[in-house]
Amino acid sequence: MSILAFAAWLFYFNLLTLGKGLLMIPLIQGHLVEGAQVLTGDQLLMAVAIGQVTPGPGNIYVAAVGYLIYGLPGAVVALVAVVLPSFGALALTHGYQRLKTNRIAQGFFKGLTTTALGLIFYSALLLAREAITSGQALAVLILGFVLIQFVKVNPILSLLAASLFGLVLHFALG
Amino acid sequence: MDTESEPIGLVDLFRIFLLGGLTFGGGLAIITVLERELISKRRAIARQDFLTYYALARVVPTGTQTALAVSLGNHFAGFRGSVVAVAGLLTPVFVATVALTALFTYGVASGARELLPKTVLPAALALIVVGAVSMGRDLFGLKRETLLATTGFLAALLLHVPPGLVLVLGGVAGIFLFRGEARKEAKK
Repeated sequence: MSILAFAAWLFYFNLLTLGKGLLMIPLIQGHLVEGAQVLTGDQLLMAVAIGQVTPGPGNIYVAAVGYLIYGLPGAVVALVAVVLPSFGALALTHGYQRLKTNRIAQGFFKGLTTTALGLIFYSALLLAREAITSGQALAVLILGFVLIQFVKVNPILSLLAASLFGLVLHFALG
Repeated sequence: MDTESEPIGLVDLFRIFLLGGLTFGGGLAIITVLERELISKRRAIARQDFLTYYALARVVPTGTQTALAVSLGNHFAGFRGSVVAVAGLLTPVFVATVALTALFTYGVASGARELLPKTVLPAALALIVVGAVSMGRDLFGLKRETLLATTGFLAALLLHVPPGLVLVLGGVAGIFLFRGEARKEAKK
């Protein structure tokens, strides 16, 4: 896959998912991991992890995806691809009210984001098949889930704590 | 959008959005910094205008924070202002992302890299699962939403329909499924 084709895919993914980083995961997973096979599931998870421990907007983890495939040019191209649609805000200033009250646009976006939710579960299932290859990995996944979902620990701290737990398990169990 | 704005130069603009880009905690944390810098401290823009730009940024099919940077940058300094504001906002995250990815790719010893599948990777997967569960919590009590999300899941899993196509089809289905809600929203 050429770097331009990669940029075009990201531009399309970003537009389709309204720039929501989490919703982009199934698309990246489907087209770049399963389809073109230019990225592995583990690399995608690493990019998501990096996105969690960096400041600023959440969808810029795609720069890590670009870097992993093409190096620094890939990171720059990925950044540009997801930022470019933001300039549509200038054009929208005038048509805002019309879009806000447009029933077709409203229904389309609601349908799209609802469907994306099902796709995130699908993506998580495929990534789990690749990432959960041992009992230790499963324990880390469960701990991470419990910490964020039930104990309400900050995602960055949860990521670090669950990773540390995995490390301890590795050395304890050998 | 007429407002009595204090002139804000390109350097100020870069600095303010850089501060926003340095915050952890996602969109709301960034908005809080911008609100404090532009409205409370500098009184550079009316609150109503700020909120209108925010509402606009939410409509643009892309990240809300970058779209807000484009709008506010344009408000203060035209197109150059948009570019400078976006550059300020994204510099911290871009530099940090590239540095960490490079560290992972070249800096981490192969022994340490072998530990990743037992440490960071399953923990990152937990984040994705939690994200999906949190987003689903509001929707899964609702029949049409649950039906649409489940159909999308099954279409990808069993029929191997490409995710992009699933999303577009979901959007088209949404036009018909959520017609009533959109009508109510439009009346508001």
